[in-house]
Amino acid sequence: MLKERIGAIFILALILLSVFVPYYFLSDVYSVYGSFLFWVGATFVAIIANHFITKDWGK
Amino acid sequence: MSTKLAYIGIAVYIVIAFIIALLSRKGEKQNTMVSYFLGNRKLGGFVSALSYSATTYSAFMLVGLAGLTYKGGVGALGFELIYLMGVSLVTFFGPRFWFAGQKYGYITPSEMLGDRYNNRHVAVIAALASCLFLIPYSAVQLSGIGYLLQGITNDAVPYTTGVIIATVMAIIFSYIAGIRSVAWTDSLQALFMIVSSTLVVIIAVQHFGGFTSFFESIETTRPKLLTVPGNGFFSLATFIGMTLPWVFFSLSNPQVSQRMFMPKSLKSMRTMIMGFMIFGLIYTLVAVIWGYTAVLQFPELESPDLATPMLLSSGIIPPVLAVIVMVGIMAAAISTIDSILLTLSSLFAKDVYANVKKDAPDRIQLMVGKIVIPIIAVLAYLFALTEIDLIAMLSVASAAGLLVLVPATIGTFFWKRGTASGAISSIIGGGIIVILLEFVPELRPFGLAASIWGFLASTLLFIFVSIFTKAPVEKAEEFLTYVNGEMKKLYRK
Repeated sequence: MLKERIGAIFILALILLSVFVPYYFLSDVYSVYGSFLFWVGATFVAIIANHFITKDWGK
Repeated sequence: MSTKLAYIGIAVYIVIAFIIALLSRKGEKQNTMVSYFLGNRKLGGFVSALSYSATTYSAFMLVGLAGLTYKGGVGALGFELIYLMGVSLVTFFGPRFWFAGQKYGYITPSEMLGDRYNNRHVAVIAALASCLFLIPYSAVQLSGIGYLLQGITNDAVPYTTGVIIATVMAIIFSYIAGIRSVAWTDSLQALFMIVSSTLVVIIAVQHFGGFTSFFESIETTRPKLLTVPGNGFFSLATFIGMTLPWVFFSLSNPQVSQRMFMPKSLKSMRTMIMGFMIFGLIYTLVAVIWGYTAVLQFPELESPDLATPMLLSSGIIPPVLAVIVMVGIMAAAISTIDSILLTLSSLFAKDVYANVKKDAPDRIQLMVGKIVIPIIAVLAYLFALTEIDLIAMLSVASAAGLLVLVPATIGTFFWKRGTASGAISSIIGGGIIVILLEFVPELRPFGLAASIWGFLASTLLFIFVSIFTKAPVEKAEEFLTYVNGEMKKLYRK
């Protein structure tokens, strides 16, 4: 259950960062290596996080 | 695009999908509620993942999201990917739904709410709220197909023909074998959607000299489309207002939350979650890059919704591939509508009919569900033909409107003190506020979106009304002890 709780907090933080980082830190980076890459990267991290949380399901 | 080619494409799609739907009937009989609507809770992981993807992603992606990218830039990517991260909710709620479904035999999410809060009115109201917002939403999907076919073929396929084809297909897919035919045809359609759209985007990007020079062109010609707020379309308030309902989509929309009852094991559910997230990331990137292609090819379009029809008929894409993508978009819409049809008919049979007509046997409930499928489809069809403003408004409000189901759903698993009165007032009160603020934008406090106020109102109503009313202590205790016990075992392994 601790693993689930930590996972939930981590993903919540990731979602909040995904709202605020592009608006406050990347708003003048006029490149694909700005918000575009940040959002794709954050989603990738979220997928990895889900992988680890659910790793032992059904074992 | 030639009309003949378009019709051939549509015909091939119909024949293949129809065969798949018929094949899905083999195996176990679908003559009970649980077999027809939930596939006997025995859905495999791979099919679950593809079907979840096809159900979630509609014609909105390659038409609407591409249009949003055209209009507002990278904010469209952020909006859609934050939604995708929100699907992580299935990781936390999925096993809880699944354990509760196994133990208490729930068919629908609203049935679960009714049982947990020990009051059948909760189930009836949650089911009716879902119908109120999802039937207009289906109507708009149907009309989307009508406009798309008409636009791409230069009026050769009339609007009504497109809408009729889509309605009939959706009825057939959901009727033939219930969730089995929906899941099988969904899987085929999901594969088709992702392969055709990825291929076409790669070709389009190649047309601009490959990915590096494609993005360099955007950086030089339209740099603001790579930032938020960028050209101002995605202000932070707009962005949050749009994103909030979608973060909770996997809990608020019954056609997807019902899926949490269906996998045959938690291992299958895991495959469903991971498969869907990977599918979603690829499909979102494809739709957004498609939108950027339109920016480079047609910088001065009157309406962003024209981006996709214009690109498909522009000549950048070979005609055969353009037809394949057109069919892919059609498949995306139909695979969403058929799942909504099936879920709504299960809600009507289980939560409305069986609560009004108590002791109705399973067989009769199933019969009612089957009768309701074509009725809902025809209703959506009629809505799609009559361009009533109300329907369009309800459809726009659907994401925000269904959000009002979320507080009671979260309370089901995490708040013992939640009560039936709290749940009912939260759904009705929140729903009224969403509709009111969608219809009369001047009433929105601080100009913030209806979704934000609706969600806030339904949460506060749920909490405060629950505090002042009597909780179903015994039921809550028994339900939560069971579910939490199973969750502990799941993570102890």
